[in-house]
Amino acid sequence: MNNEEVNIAKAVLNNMSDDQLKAAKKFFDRFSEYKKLTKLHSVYIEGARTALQNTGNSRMYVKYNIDGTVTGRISNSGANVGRKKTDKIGVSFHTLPRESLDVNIRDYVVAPEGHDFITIDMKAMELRVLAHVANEQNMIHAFKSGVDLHSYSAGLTFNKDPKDVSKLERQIAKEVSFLTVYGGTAYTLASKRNIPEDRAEEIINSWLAAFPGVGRYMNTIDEYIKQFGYAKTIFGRYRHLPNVRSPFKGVRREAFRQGLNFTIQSAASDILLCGMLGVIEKLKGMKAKVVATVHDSIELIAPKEETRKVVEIVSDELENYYYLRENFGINLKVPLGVDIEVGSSFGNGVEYEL
Amino acid sequence: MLTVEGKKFDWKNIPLIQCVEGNAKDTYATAKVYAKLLEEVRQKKLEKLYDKLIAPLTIAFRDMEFEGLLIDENKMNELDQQLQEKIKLADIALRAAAGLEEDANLNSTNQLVKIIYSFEKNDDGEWIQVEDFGLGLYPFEFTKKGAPSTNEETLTKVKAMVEEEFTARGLKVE
Repeated sequence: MNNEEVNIAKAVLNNMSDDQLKAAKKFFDRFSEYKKLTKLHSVYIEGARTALQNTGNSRMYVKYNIDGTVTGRISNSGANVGRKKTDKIGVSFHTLPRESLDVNIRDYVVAPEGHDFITIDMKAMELRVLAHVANEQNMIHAFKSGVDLHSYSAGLTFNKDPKDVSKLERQIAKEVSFLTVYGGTAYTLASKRNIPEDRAEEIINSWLAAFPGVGRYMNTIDEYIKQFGYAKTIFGRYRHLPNVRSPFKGVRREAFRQGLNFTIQSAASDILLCGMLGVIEKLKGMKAKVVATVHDSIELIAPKEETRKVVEIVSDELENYYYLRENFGINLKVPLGVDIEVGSSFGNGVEYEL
Repeated sequence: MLTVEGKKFDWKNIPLIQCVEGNAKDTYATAKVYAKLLEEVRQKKLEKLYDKLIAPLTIAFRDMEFEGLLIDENKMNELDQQLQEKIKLADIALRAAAGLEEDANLNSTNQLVKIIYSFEKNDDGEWIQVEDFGLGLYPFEFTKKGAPSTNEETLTKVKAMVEEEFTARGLKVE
């Protein structure tokens, strides 16, 4: 993109009247809503219809890609039986949206008659992994005592009792924690929250001061990557980062960010996958089945009479990670937690209390 | 498309004996690659990751891929109706915001160019500015053919710029 041209475009906007600008804003808001809706329709309704016509058994099939991402996260896509778009026998389960624009697409993925659809979500997985790998004592303490991490960190960041933290302060603290993990700058926070950049910088610094282990960990990882040219996770996965030797500062910075993120995201994904393997082993002999996994969750279908038992088994395995301990000898410094939802479809689950 | 001697590749055009030979070679080559990769896996100390995670996962995912997901078609039709209804409303709202006639095609590129940048193609195929129509934004990116760009990437940038200016002036959505 030509910078000069962008500056002209900005100047043109600057010269518009308030009414003209309002009209432009209105147009773009409505345009993106329209686009979102038509995309939802073409991908998840028309796409699903084509898939069902091809399978003829009211089922869709998803293809899992074990090597589809650089972090080792699993990606998936609708399976197909040929090369054409019309040969699809599924849509991506991965991108099946949560309720958006008041339409709950996930509702059409259902459990058979007499069965429950069970979704088990790992709670705040990546931040737990961050606390573990960074050995961050305050964060570990927060997870161990079961307090709400973001209120707790907002308390430390804004120097307040966590009880007195406002909703906005909690949200800001949450964003800062993800900025740290995914790589972001004061500018990102400033533009998102519409606050001055130096104020954003202050907030980030006090968040980092509240969790000193995180800063130390970032430095350790940077040094490691500088020395070896790759990052490595607690599972021994590598990510080569040749760009850390780039002559360009921005390119190097991006490579370090990728390396840091890799050590957290990849490990988080592997912990969940170990949990899934443990669950599958323990469900042998029962009718319940793991039918999918997406992001930090696994999805199961169980006959109603098995539901309670299945939820017990799955929460026990995921919270106590026997498979991970036995096979990888990893003992986490933080507890793991799960959210359980049970319903008749992927979209209509409600919280399930054991 | 894979072709063999100018013909589209299809197993049924290959004599059985050649298929057998081909498959045998394939298996042999795979075994060779396996040995080589295994050595590398050992060198990098990735055996445990492979044996305890990757290999069992391929079995787990195979089972899930075979099982598939049950779809409630009635529910799907219901969602279809809901979405179509919403698209209709969004379409009306968008036309109103763009100052478009009812029959104008929203998905045409020329139409979008006219709305967003107030540019129009004349009879000689040149892009000229039109008065009193559209938002009049400055086109800063062009397609190879010289039309103001309306691809998703550009429009995301344009939208962000509009929003930035909107917020900077402290305006509110009405």
